[in-house]
Order: sequence, then C-alpha cells, then structure tokens
Amino acid sequence: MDELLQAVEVLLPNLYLAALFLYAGHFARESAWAGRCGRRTLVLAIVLHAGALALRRVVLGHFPPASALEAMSTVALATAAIYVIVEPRIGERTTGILVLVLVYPLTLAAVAFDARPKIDDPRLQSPWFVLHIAPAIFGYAGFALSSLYGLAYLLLHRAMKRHRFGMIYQRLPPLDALAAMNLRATWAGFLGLTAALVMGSVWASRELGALPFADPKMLLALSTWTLYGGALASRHILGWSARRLALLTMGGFLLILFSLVIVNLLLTGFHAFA
Amino acid sequence: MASESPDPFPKTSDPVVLGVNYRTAPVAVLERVALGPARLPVEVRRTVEGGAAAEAVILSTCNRLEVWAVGTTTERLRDFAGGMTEAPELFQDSTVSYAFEGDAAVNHMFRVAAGLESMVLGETQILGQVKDSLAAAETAGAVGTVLRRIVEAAIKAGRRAQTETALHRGATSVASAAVELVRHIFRDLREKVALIVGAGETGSLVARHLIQAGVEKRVVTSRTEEHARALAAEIGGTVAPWAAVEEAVGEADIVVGCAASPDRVVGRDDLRRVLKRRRRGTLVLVDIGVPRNFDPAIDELPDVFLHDMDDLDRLVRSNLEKREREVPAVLRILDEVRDALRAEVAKERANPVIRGLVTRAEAARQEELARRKNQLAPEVYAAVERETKIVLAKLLHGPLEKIRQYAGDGVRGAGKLDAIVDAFDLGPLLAAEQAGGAGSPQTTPPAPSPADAGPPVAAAPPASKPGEAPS
Repeated sequence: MDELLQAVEVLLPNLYLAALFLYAGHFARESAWAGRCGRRTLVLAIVLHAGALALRRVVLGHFPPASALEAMSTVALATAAIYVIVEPRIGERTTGILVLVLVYPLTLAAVAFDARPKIDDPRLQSPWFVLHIAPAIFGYAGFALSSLYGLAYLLLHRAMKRHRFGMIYQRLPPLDALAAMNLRATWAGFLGLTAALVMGSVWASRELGALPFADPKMLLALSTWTLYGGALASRHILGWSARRLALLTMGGFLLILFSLVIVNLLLTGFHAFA
Repeated sequence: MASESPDPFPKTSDPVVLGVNYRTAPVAVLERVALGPARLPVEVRRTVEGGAAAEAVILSTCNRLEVWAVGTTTERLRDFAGGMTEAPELFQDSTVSYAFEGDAAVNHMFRVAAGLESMVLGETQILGQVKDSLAAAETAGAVGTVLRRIVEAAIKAGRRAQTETALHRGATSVASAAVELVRHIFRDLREKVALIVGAGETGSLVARHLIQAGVEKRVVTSRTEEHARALAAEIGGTVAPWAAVEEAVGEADIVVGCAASPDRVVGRDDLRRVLKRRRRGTLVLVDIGVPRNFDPAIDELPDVFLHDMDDLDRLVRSNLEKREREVPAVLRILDEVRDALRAEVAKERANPVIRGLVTRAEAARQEELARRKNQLAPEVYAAVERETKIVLAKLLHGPLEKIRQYAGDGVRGAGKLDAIVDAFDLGPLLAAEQAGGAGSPQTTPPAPSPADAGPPVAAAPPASKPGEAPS
C-alpha cells in the first residue's frame, strides 16, 4: 500500500503538468484537440488525486487534511474538481490554464515536502471533523477560483483599456463572463467558509465548552470571512465595480496563502493536529 | 476498324471556366454583366441548348460572372458568352476575362467555393451562391453527371474549409469589428441597451449587425429627429432626444457613434457627471465617426471602454492576417477533395476498358484451350492452361497500368484510351455493357495474375496409343 501511495503521488503532479501543457496549447494555439486532451488528462488527475487522498487515509490512519500540506493538496483537488464541473457551463476551456497554474504547484509542493505524518489525534476520527473540514476545503477552493477569475478579469480589462488585441483579448472569455465567474466563486467560497465556521464553532463548543477565539487559524478564518463578506456587501449594496471585486478577491487569496504559511510554520493552537 | 459504338469518353469532357471578376474588371463593367435571378436559368439553358457546351453552370454575383462548363472549349464559350451580357466584347478581351481548362478549371471552381477568390478572403456567402447556381442549372436541365459531380465536390470542399479551418472567422468590416469588440466585453447582448448616435447609412449597418448579434433594446438619436425616427422604425427601436444625448449614453450599455458631426457629441466631464448616477456597470463606446464623436479623454473613466476607428482597423487587419494563415490548411483540404474526385473519375473511366480487355483476352484464351482440350493429355492440358494464364497476365499487366494512367489524364488520356479501345476492338463489349448495366454498380473482374497459375509443372509427353509415335 505504501509503495502504491508513493507511486501514485509521484505520478500525480506529472499528470497535472501534462494537463497544464495541454491547456496552454489550447490557449496559445486555439487547438481544440489540446483542449479535449487537456480536459481528459485533468479528469484523470483528479480521480488519481482523490485516490491518493483515500490511500493516505489507509496508510497513515487519518483523514487527509490534517496537516498544512494535506490541506493544500485537498484545496488543490477541490479547486480542480470544481473547475472541471463548471467548465461546460463556461462554454470554453481557455481559463483552464489559470486553474492549473495554481493547482500544479500546490500539488507538487504538497507531494514534494510531505513527511507522511502519522497523526493520532482522536479529534480527526470525529464525524464533526468531516462536517467542519469539507465546507472549509470547498470554501478555500472557491476563494482560489475567485482569485483566478479575478486575475483573468484584470488581465483582460487592462488589455482592453490599453487597446491591445493580442492573445489575452482573443482567447479569454468576455469581461462580464469573467466578472460573473469571479462573483459566483466568491459566493461559493464565502458560503463554504460560513458553513465551516458554524460547524467548527458548534464542534468546539461541544469539545471545549467555549470558542477558541485566540486560535491563529480561527482568527485567520474570521478575518477572511469578514474580508470576503465585506467585499460581497460592497459589490451588491454599494455598487462597487467588478474590477474592485476582482482586485479584492485576488488580494484576499494571496493574503490567505501568506497567512496560512505563517500560521502553520510559526504558530500553534487548537487547529494543530500535526 | 474503328468501332461505331458510342464513345464513352468524349474528347471534350474536360471542364472549362470562363469569367470576369472584381480583379479583372471595374465595378462599372461588372454591373453591366451581372445576371439577375430571373435571367440566370434562361441563360444557362440557352448555353446548353445553343450548343455552346454539353453542361453548364453560371455563377453571377456582384463581384464575378463565370461560366463553368464541360463538353466545350474556351474559344467556343468565349464566342457564346458575350451574347448573355450587355458587354459582348468583354469575354473576347483576355485582359479583362480569364479562362481555365482541365485541372486548372477544377482548381479555380474549388478555390471560388472555398472563398479563396473572394474580395474578402474567406467570406462565406459565395458557397451559398455556388449552391444556388447549381440549383438553377439543374432546374434549367443544363447540368449532367460530369459537371454536377465536379461542382458538388467543390461545394463539399468549401463546406469542409468552413468547418475544419478558421478561414471564415473574425470580423473583416468596421461594423462587424465593432460588434466583435462589444462581444469581448458582454457575452449575452439580449439584455443590453444599444444606443446608435447618428442615423445615417453607417448607423443603419451597425444597428443591423448588433441586431444579428442579439441586441434587443435599440435606441437611436440624431441631430435630425426625422432621420432618427426613420432608423428607429427600420430597426424596431426607440428615439432619444438629441438634446439629452449624455443622459441617453448614461442609460445605455453599448454606444456606437457614427454621426457626421464636426464637434464632439459627448465630452468626458459630461459623461462623468452622468455616470455618477448610473448603476448599470460597464459602458462601451465605439466611435466610428470621423471626426470622432466622443472625447478621447472618456477612455480615462473607470469602467468605460472607448474604441475608435484605429482600433477597429487594427482588429480587421489582424483578422485578415489570421485568415491568410489558414490558407495552407484550406489548400490541403481542396487537394484532398480534388484527388478523391480525380481517383473516382479515373476509376470509372478505366474500369470498363479494363473489363473489356480482360474479357476479350480471356475469351481468346478459352477458345484456344477448348479447341486443344481433346488433343492433349490431361496433365499437359493443365500445364498449358496454367502457362497461358501466366503469359496473359504478364502481357496485360503493362497495358492495364497504362489504362489506369490514361483514365486519370483528362482529355489527353481520353484519346489514348480510345486508341486502346480501337486496337482491341472493345467497342461492342463496352456498348453492350453500357446498354445492359448503365447505372448499376459494375465490378471489375480481377485481372489474371502470374501468382494464380501455381508452381510450374514440367510438361509430360502426350499419351500415345501403342504403335503410334509421340506428336
């Protein structure tokens, strides 16, 4: 089983890389063949990724997102999976390259730096763990996608403002479609994080009798929730432009990534299982 | 002696194209020669019934008049074609008209159908025009199997060029480029409000492109209210007062400026004031006016995109360059379809002659074998039968290859095929086959091959009766 897990985890980033090249070919050369093959390779990578996480459960004895690297890997999987589901609705594959530019390095890092921790924390066996972690993963995947579509929106906006009609103009979906994807992904992320906070709060109350407001990850999650909630309110109520939301969501996700690194490397607290 | 049977390979079955187009003649001349839909079937019937060609299709568009025919020559067609236009001298003048024969004619037909010969490279209207021309010729009874197959192959090649390449993609006019630009900002135009500033011809053209793209809410404004009303009625829109044009811009999502105005119609500060009250999101202005209708400083406003003729010209040029890059792929498709057509025609020409020659040769062999059968011992007969089969296969191998080669060589080859038919007196056989099996699928019997004869066996001496010396 261990050897199998190792083999799968070696293959996995390479599959994402192959998908990235194919989606890049579709973007740069308008190759329909590359687009079709890219999607099939991505689906295969997602299936393999899910299998790898299931294997980790068997080999290591805990549900995967218990360490920072596992959480990163699971967010990458969720981001890729949500994109694959949504891609037919978008109607084109040109933004796939952006998704893979995020998913591939996250997966590579998760596999390359993984120390295969065997974590025995009994909290990981509680069903509340799944109820809390699943919407959290979904939420962060939503924020990841919203930042990618925010980036795409800003790139196209800039190209058109500068009257440049090169590859960005020709290959990306229309500006309002990118704005809509950015907004929907932000909502998905916000709702996911809300559910995660609620579930986590209920669980913590039952386990600890009080909410661990001083926990770094809890503080980070609350800050993230406030930031994105404020951005959505400003968009819908104050009429902030799609460009402002794109900037906020991009900045927001960069902040999440940066903060996660700091929190996991330097700080400990209630959320530390490993 | 030459066969009296019908010649299955008429010497003049190669296609011929004769025409004038926008490259060779000015618009004023093309206007005089254009045939309307009512005259087209009349002229194409006259071409065939008057003996100018065995089959004909006439293609008449605003940019070309061409006669595609078989069973004729360029000279005969030139003499006749002048009579169908108001400029009879036109087709006699080789500096203004052009002509192709054989492969070059087929190549030209394919290129026309694929849009490679159009004024705007890759335009798709021509394919429909070729189909209509074929239909008109069919109705007039002017087209038969030979020309129909060629034109249908050209249509097939044109359709493949449209579906398998990007030759026809991208806007190539200012009006369509304006709409294409808008589509890069708004995916669905149904709920968007389009304001046309200026009710002239350009405004009307752009409005029609926007309607085609799905815009349902159309507003027109013009300095002359009467013109605005006329255009609004034409496109099913409403009229906005010229005096409140900034407000109308503020309430629109797409604004196209095509007014002939010496002054700016909308300034930046006026628009900024209006946009403060606006809750509609992105605004895109396309300025087709010369001088420009909109203050260029409007481009600095957030969530406003302003594009002018320079942008549209660049887009059109870029799209045309992309179409040029598709030409090699289109030519490959044309070559594929043309090669398939050539192979099909060659096979149909070759097969009856091959069948006839093999049948004639085998019949002679069987006749001799039958005569000698009782005179030879069985094993000798078997050996003779095998060896004669080998000799026949060797003798016929070369001529059968030549037949296939001549069949694919158009008029040049047809003459040589005739010589083979004549030399081997195959006429009656071919005529009988044509009369008996016309239209039904014919299969070619396998030509005798040396491999069929099996290993050679040493001939045994003929059996002799006791007392008789062997022969």
